[in-house]
Amino acid sequence: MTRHERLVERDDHLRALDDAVVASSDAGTVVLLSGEAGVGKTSVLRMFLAGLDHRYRVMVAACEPVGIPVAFAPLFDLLEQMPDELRDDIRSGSARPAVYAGMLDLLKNERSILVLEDTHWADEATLGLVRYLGRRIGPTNATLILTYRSEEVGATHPLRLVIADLGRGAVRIEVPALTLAGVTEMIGGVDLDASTVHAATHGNPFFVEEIIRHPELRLPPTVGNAVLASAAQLPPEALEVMYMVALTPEGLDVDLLVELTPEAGGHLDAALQRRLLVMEHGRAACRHDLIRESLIQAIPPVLKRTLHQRMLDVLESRGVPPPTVETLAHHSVGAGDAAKAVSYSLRAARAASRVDAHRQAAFHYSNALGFRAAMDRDTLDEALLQAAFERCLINDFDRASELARDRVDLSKSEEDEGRARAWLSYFQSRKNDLAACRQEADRAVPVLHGLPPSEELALALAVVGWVALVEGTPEDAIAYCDEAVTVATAAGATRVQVHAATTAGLARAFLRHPEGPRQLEQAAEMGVSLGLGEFAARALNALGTVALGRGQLKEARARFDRLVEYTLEHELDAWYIAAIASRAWVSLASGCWDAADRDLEVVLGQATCIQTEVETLIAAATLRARRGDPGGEELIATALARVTGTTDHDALVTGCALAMEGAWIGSHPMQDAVERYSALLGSLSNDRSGRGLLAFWARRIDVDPPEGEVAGPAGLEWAGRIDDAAESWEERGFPIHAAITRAICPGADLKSVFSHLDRVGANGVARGLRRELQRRGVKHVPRGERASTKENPAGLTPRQAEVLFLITRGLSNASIAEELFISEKTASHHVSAVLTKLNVSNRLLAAAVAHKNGWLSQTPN
Amino acid sequence: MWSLGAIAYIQSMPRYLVERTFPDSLVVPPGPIGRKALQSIIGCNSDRNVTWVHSYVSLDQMKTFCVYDAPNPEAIRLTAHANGLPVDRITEVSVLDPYAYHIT
Repeated sequence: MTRHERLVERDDHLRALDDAVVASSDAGTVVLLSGEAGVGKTSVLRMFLAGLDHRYRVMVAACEPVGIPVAFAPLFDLLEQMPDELRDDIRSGSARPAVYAGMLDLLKNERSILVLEDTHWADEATLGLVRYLGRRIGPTNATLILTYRSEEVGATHPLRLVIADLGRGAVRIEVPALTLAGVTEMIGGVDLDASTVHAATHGNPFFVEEIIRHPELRLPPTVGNAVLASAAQLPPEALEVMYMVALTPEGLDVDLLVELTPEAGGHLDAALQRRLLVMEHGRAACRHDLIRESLIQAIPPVLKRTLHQRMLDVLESRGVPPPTVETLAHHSVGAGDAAKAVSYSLRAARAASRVDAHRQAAFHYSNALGFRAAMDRDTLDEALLQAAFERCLINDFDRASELARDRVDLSKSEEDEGRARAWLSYFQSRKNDLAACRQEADRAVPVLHGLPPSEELALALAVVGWVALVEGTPEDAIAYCDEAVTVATAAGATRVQVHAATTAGLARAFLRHPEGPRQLEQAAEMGVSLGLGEFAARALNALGTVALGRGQLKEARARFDRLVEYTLEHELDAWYIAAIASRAWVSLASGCWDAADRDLEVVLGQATCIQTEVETLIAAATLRARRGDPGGEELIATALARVTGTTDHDALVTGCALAMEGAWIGSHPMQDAVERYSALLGSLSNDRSGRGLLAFWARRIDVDPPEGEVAGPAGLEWAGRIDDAAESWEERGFPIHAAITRAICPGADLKSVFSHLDRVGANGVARGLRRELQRRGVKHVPRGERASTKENPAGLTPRQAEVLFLITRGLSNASIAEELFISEKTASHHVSAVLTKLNVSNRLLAAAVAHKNGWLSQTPN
Repeated sequence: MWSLGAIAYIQSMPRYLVERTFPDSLVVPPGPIGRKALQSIIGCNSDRNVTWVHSYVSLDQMKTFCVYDAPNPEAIRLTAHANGLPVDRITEVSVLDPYAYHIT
């Protein structure tokens, strides 16, 4: 950016960066610097960094587009600034937690600034690092600056989850497009019409600069064309050099380039001179990613393959410095060299999977499978299974099932088919598609039973057991899963052993069998210690679910927090989403509604597991209804529509509770609630927590309790021990349930209950409670907030209230008289009446009383 | 985002009236500090597609009635939380124009 001594219209953004770094000396800060491509994020950053004094220790690293995903790719830019041990950890790509800790140590140095550019392209390991650092940066005095293209980070972009996780602690700086005045300033003396340029570029400074640089080109309709028009003036050989650079996102080694094209030196100079390319660390790269993107789109397809092939050949034959397997995979895929694309992509996929970079692994498996015709049957079968597994981990159960189905179609024998079906049923069960997974598992089990104990038989049995549990028949679940554990143990299949033990433990816990939680603990410990990722997460989740089902909110929160940590460490997106959804439930129950909002925002629309999706919708609807926010009825209806027709017992129970609560509040038809409840009553005989949940709401809408023992606070209430029930809710940390129960205690202090509900924003709950109290014939139910605002505090007349209001504004008797068009004597009379009614000796105290009681907002004008 | 498929019944952006209470009075300092504060609120809002149309402030500055366009009430609550603003009540509203009936 030597062209401009200052950046146009960027002073505020530079200052905001300055402020953030200064603030970091008190507490470490994360800065999110965003804006559209070409808007000048990097320019702002460079200028800001250039202005820092030497005391700051600055580390800048950039993420590259997906062509070649490598774990911790951007950190390779920083290797020179790192201690040896950390450098080895990053190079080997093996020890993710060690890298996290090492990077945090780096930030603990005085005044560190770590910049990660273009994080919309960050690999998972790096995103994990950002999350890790974001949570721990507070006690340091470092600044972590992340830049990203706002338009790239859509709702499902992995970076979005990370940003949501950083929460409100982060400083957000959005770099906007230039205004017309800004464009005019940039154009300066050049003979161009500013408003035309502004209209053509939408104020994007990168585009404006391209146009200023080549005014002779007139105005191209798009800036991609500006780049190409500029490139077109170079000889074809130079264009080829630029294409090769563009095809190598991490930059092309100049020595290599010379080997590829003998005349490369001269061509490179020409491209550098036109500022299309730049040189960094002996590598040529495009000056801006927009240039790279325009060039890639312009490369003729056949030439693109040829260039990839040439680069692949040279890279393989040279071997110095050794090219990464990801680079070789990238070029062999681009070259369409089937054998090599398969071999390198599979190697890259396995390497990525080993370091828990599951998104990358899935990417490389996809690339390899694009050349499946070149694979032998066994290789293809294995690649399909691994690819499906990686898809499952990254929350793409549909694709996982498709890939697993391909294996079924591919199988040559009945045994193979049975094995393939077992895995297919597993992926379907992860989506919680109960009918589909049971069907596949039922087909697999008889075939596999005839063979020696196998992982697949255990898996299919475990799936059947899972379906039984979800459908509310835990005894069957235990039978199937115990058998699955035996088979898995015999087959040495530890992951399935953990899986089956988890379901068996859950089923036992559901039946209040003391062995249940113990079995779950063991499964979790085994899963975590053996590094079983997916299966360990499942066991950890089950422990949280049990605590939540028993109303042990504190323990449930701790369990889900632990699971969130675990899933972040191992990049298990699907389980991360499940953990956040469950944590939202805990927050909802414990009255931490803002926390519930934030968790729900992260997972709504993200869950691909039907169970999680339904859970999330029900939580969102419950929250909206309790607040009395607009659209509650619609959201309840939407959530219940997803529940209708399911065989998932838990979904039916929580859906029923939502319908009953909605009906109580007046946001859902009572008849539907009663029908759902009656339909469920027969299936609650061994669901203790379901009975407890529904019994509470049954009391609210005045229907009979479920048959059988009702335990917990709802049971106390039905037994007439209402005070004890309220206290028990309180102790367990359910403030809303406690408030409702307290209100129906004989002689309850209703005013305090309602003012509590008002304070926590439970307008919907207050509405439901008023309706219930009226139904019970309770006299003197405090009216709603709207009504009470009309009341005059302390029995003041409207006139006196006006006078009090003026007193609080510091007006003298004379001014009050003037204001109200009355005589000063009358005013003085009103003032003393007010003081008497408020029982205070002077007007200052009167004002204080008014403030303290919040009357001022209720004072008429 | 809350506006994803899950809550797809929302067709166009609804308008909401948001009531807030400021026990210590709402003070927007004049000059650049006030401008910065308001701009940061607007910035936070745009993260969730929330538009602050305008507000009415009670004369004691303890209560505000703010008109917002937002995809749903949760987006308003989340941005309020991010901006450190209280929310008492959210009501979905439409405009009633007294003069619309004058055309005879």
